[in-house]
Amino acid sequence: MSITADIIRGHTETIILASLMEHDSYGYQINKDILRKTDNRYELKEATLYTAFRRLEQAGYITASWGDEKGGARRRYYSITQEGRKACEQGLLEWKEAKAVIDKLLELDQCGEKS
Amino acid sequence: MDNLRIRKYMDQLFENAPINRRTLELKEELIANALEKYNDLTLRGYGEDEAFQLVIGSIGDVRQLFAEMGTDDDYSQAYYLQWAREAQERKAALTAVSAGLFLLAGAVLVISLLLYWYNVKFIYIHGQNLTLLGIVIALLICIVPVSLLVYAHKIQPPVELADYTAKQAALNSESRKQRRRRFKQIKGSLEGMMWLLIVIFYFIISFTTQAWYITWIIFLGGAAVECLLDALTKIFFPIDKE
Repeated sequence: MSITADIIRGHTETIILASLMEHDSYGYQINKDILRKTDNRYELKEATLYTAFRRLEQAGYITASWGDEKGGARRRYYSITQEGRKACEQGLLEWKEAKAVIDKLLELDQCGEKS
Repeated sequence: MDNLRIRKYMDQLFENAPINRRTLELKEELIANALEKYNDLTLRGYGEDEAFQLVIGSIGDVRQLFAEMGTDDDYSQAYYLQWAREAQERKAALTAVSAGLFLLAGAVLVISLLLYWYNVKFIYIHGQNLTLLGIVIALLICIVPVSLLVYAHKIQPPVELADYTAKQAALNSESRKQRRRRFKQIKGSLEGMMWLLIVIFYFIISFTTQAWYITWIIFLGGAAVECLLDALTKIFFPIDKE
């Protein structure tokens, strides 16, 4: 459980980018998507999420704009840029590689079932 | 609705945050999302306290965000540049107003000298007194553009970005609107005093010179000063676009 949470946190930026690949979104909605996709088991802390937003914005992977909600606070919508799409693909590749490596290591370490 | 409670909590959270546009925007973003989450939770049947606790609990450590915003200056840089540009424009406006006033003073001077010449040449009607009055008024008018120019000269964008940030923090402690209102109050009392003085001045001059047919021009001068004050209000306290 905590390993999964760590891994998710380690991939916050790619997860956000992947979420924005589907459609423009804002903080709470992205977190809701994560909740839904993980069957209500995981969500990101607000602080983690917004730190990642700022970093992605600075890198030019996402752009932000204000919604026009009336009465009360406005939502800040994010959309992915061309650069962001590339970064997302790159992040996916890296994850696939890591997954393959861990798979192999755990198999070789023989804690998996022996056939 | 428990909106106030969440807003209050955010206020506390941001109490020690560096004051700049980034943190203000972050706060608004956080509030919008927190409120939506809170509403969702209460709709799903959570009690008010429970929903509030859940919302607060999911925020995490915001200080790490502040830390980043304190050091990252890219954003502030843009605002600094904008501010510098505005300062430049204000300077230009002040210079233009000063030039106009100098012209006015010059015109008054020319008119009074012409009056003098006219009086000497043709009929003598308290010409000397009027000329003297004209010269005095011209000099008095000059006081305003000179002080404006001195002030304009002092408008310099702070050399360091840090100066600017410090200045911003100070400015933020009193909102623009408040300052505008305060200035308007001061302006109002100044104008009241000015008109009173003008009336007194008018009678003194008129009785001493007996030139009633022309001394009413003093009131035009008063109107000019009032227009000037209005222009200054607009330069220094532009109406917020919001």
